[in-house]
Parts: sequence; C-alpha cells; structure tokens
Amino acid sequence: MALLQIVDLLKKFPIHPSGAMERVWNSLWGMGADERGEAGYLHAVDGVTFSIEAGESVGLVGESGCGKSTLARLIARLQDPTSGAIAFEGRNIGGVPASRFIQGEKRRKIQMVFQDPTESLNPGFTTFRVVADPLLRLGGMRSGPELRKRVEELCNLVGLAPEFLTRYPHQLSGGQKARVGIARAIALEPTLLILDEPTSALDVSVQAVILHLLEDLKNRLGMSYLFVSHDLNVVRLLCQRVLVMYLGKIVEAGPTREILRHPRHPYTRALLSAIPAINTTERTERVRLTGEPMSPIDPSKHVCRFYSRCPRREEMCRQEMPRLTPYPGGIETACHFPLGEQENTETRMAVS
Amino acid sequence: MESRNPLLVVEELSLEFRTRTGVVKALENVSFEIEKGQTVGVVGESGSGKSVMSYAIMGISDPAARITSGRIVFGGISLFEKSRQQLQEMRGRELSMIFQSPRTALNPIRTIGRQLEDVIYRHSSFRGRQIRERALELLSRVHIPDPEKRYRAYPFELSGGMCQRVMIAIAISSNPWLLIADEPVTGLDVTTQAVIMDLIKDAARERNMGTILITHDLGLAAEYCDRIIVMHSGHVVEVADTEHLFMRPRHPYTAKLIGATPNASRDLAELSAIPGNLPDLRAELPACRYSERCEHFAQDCLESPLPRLETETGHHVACRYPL
Repeated sequence: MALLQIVDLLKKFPIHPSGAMERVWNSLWGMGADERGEAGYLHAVDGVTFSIEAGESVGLVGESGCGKSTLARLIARLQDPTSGAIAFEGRNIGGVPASRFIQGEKRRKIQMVFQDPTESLNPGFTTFRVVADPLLRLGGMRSGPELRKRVEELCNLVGLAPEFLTRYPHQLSGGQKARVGIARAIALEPTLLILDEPTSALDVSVQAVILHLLEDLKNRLGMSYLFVSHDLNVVRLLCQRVLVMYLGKIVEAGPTREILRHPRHPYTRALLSAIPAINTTERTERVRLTGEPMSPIDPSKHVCRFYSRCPRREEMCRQEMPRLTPYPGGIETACHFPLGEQENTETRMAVS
Repeated sequence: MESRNPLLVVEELSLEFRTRTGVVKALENVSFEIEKGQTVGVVGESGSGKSVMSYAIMGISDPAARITSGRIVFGGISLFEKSRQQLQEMRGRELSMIFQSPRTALNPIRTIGRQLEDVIYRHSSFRGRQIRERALELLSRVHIPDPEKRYRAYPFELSGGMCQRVMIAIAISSNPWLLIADEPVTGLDVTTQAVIMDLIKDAARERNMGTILITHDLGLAAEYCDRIIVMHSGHVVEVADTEHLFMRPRHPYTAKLIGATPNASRDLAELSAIPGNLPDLRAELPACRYSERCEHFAQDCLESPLPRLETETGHHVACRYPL
C-alpha cells in the first residue's frame, strides 16, 4: 500500500469581480456563491492523481503559477481541497478540515520545509524555540532537560552547533536558517516530508551542503519526500520519480532518469532545454515557448492546457483534453502528439 | 595597447563602507575591462561584491560607501571627474541598469506606459505624440503581447516575466552603451529566463552594446557571456574567456563553484560543497581572502601582495598556486 495516494484532487479559488465592500455586504446577507456573483474560479489544482510509496522521493516540477505549491499545501493539509481524496497511511485525510487536522494525530506525520528560510521563521523566536515548538505542541513534551536534549540532538542531526540555539533568525546565515527549518520539520519524525523549493534561495555552495544533508536524513530516518522545485537538475539528485505539472494538471510523470533522457511531453522538453548548462555538450537545442500561458480561471474542459504555447498543437488538442497515457519506460504522458525517441535523439545530435 | 579603446575600464577599484561596527572592505583592487558589444558575466556567492561593484560603476553607491582608490573610465572619460549632474545625465542614457526584482524596481502606482514615457521624455528629444509611439514601439520590441492594452496596466497586473520585459524596454530606451543587468532572471521560471536572456542578448547585439551580467548561476553565465569575472569577498579572483574558464579553471574557488553546480549528469555524491564561509570583511584580512577556505593553502598565501598572474593571454588569476 502506498504511503500517500492522491485521487482526482481539485482545488478551486473563487474570483470576486466586485469590490471589497460589496463582498462584505453579500457575505453578511449569507448569499451563496452564485448569488454573490463570483466571476469564476481559479483552478489551481485540477484533477491530480498520483501516489508516493514509503521511503520514496518524488519530485514535483513546473513553472510558477502551475499549482505546485498549492498541491504541496493541500497534501500538507494547510488548505482544504475542493474535492478529491488524499489517502495517507490508508486513511482519507482530504475531508478533515485543515483547522481540525492540526490537532489530529496525522499532523506530526506530514511536515513541511518552506521555501524562504527567512520568511518561515518567527523573527522573535530563537533557534531553540523554533525547534522546540512542534515538540511542545504535538510531541507531548514539556519544558525541561529532556526537551533540551532532544532539540540539541535535532540540531546536531542537521549540522547546527549548540551555540546557534540562542540565536535569532537575523543572526543566522541563509544556510543556517535552512537548517533550522529542516530541524523543525523533522522534529516529530514525520513519514512524509514536503519540501517546497528548499534550496532556491541559497547559493550553490550552500545548496550542495543542504542537498547532501537531505539525502543523508532521508536514509537515516526513512522518510518519503515530496520535493517541489523548478530546477530539474536539482530534482534529479534526490528523486527517483518526477511529476511535471502545467496549469493545474500533471502532464508527465515517471522515473526521473527516463524523463530527463526521453521527455515525451513538449512542455517537459521545453523545460529541459531551457536549463542553462555550463558544459556545452549538455546543451540541447533550445525550444523557445512562444505565446502566453492560458488563463487558469475557468479553463475549458476540452482544450489542452498547454495549447496556447505548444509547438506541436493540432486541431484535436482543442477538442479533447489529453489524458495521462502509459508509455514504455514507466512514463505517463498527457499529450495527443508525444515526442518519439527519434526526435529526442535528433535534437541532441543537432547540438553536438 | 594604445590602439584598443575599451568601453569600460575599472582600474584598481577599492571601496569601503563605514559602519558602526567597523570599516567593511567591500572591494579591493578590482580591475577589468569591457569592450563594445561584449557580454561579461560577474559570478560569485552572495556577499562577494558583485552588486556593490555595479552600483559603483553606476554612481549610485550607498552614502556610507567611500571609494578609496582606483578609477572607472567609461568611453575614455573618468567617471569620478564628472559632476553629479553630469552623471545623472549619463545614467539611463549611456549607462543603464536592470535590477533583480522588476516588481520592486517599477513604480507600483504608475502605469507601465507612463514609466516608459518618463524615461523617454528625460533622455530623448521626442515630444508629444512621438513619446507614446516610441514607448509602444519599445514594448513590442521586448515582445509584450497587446502593447496598447498593457500600456495602461499597473505593474501588479503583469507577471514577473512581463515586468522584467518592461524593465528591459526602459533600460534600452535610450540606446545605452553599457547595460548592467543585476540578476535579471533570478526568481523567474527557466522557460521565461531563456526568453528574457535572449531579449537582452538581441538588444546588445543590435546596438553593439556592452553588457555586464551579474548572476550566481554559472550555467546562465556560461551560455550568455563572452567573458567571465569570478569574484570572492571583494576580490576579482579570476577573469577569462568563458570557454577557457570552464574548460580550465585556474583559481581553486572557481573550480569549487563549478563543482557545486548541479548539472545534467553529476550525481549527488559528485556534488561538492565549498567549505567555510566568506570572511568577515570588517576584520584584518590576509592577502588572499580565500585562503581560509582553500584546500591548496600554503603559508605564503597570507603574504601581501596578492599575486596576479596571466596564465595565458587574457586569462588572469589572483592566486599564488594556480591549478
């Protein structure tokens, strides 16, 4: 049984056309969504299905605004899905309101490392208090020497010297703050750790250290990772499997190695070809995306989300939404006209 | 040497900040040149002095900054001999800059059309209707779809990539000789990054404009720059043509930076970190500021002056024991 099983997950946000006063007025009168005259819904996560096995690391990539952070927050149960199921360790936690989930026993099992190490630490908390907080709230621990020992142990695990325990966030460097965020997330020994761009704010030198630390922790504590990032070169270092998201939908999924070697979805290929490389032999022919992304507000059920920017679009792509279809190598791709093996080899040849 | 006429010469530039906790020696003897039409990348960790240096060239350093030695010669004329007013005239006309976060660099309560018009009015002889026409032309030049409509948009109504296009339109509006792009695509998606970098590259090629690209992304620098300057805590540690630098880095720091950058084939085990941190620039510093982190450290690395060698033509390295 998979550790996490997401089925047809949907999250829509209402868009209000009218001014703030009108909204307050309408809500005072207890009008329903339709009566309130909402202009539509922003489909942040639109029918997403996937699973994570125990001990597995899955990468989630896509550009900003594609819904990857919303998906992460839904799974971390910081937000409530509109519909769909989130089965975690065999129980559907999707229906539990986020406000109640924080007191539940599963809260400690799913933890999150946030994107910006500065923004996600309380500026008035010392390192000790940041790391001790989840232990006090959910770990059933009380202040005392035992708590102190556990916090020191955690800081040691993430490579923070004891002298940092009394420091405030502004007295720490970016890499140190990232370590504090990780120590807090692993304090309760979660089985699923969600990492939302954990290294994107860091220099490469520090990034390398943090990536090594994450790999080491995973092996030591046996956690599963959902690693959200826009950098495929970073994702491939830690994740066996990767999901590519575009405007609320997963467009391609499969083993990382396979997807990097042979992307079938035109978007994945564009994403791969856009990564700047130091080594000239690694450069693939540039696929430049032209056109604007489609609006995520009430998108058509039939038009492929990538239609407006796709270099391979055909009439059919406007009439029928492509579904995830399995291909050899364990890849699933949602495209009517996927790239063949031949085309991928050709572009590589063309560059070298 | 007489026949060459570089666009920008930075010569032995040293700059310090006076702060309550001491004097921060932010730049020390920084020297390099940029030719017309050349794209030069400046790479290094945060805190290495990349931005401080570009602000110094633009003449927009913090009031606490003091240039203690050196000169900056732009188009044959020393910038330090210019009056404040003359510098103001040059900024935005001959010298232009694109900043890291387009949303904070743009005025949030003015439409982007207005902001473009302001700059065109200030730096050109266009007047009246011509200004608007020129602004629209620039917006379509940076491939903003539906420029007529976007003209009336406020920055918050546009995506980060679109805002950065507006910034580029503003920066190139007066056909500058030198464009400084300070982390122009950091925080943008890789797909958008590529589009924005192409725009900058095309604009530079068309106008034979010199470009300084400040970035912490070595891949980006490798793809778009002709020459690369590697900085480490206020020193230029290595300068070379892009190909040379990546094929054969001579400074240990450059080699470490390359080794820490994830690529398409390296495993996690092969990804090496750079030990240690940047030194405190307020303290008494050794001649080589990298010596504390260096694996090839020898006792004489602490001795002044910092050696500067030319290992091959055009390949400069500030290290006593280059790789």
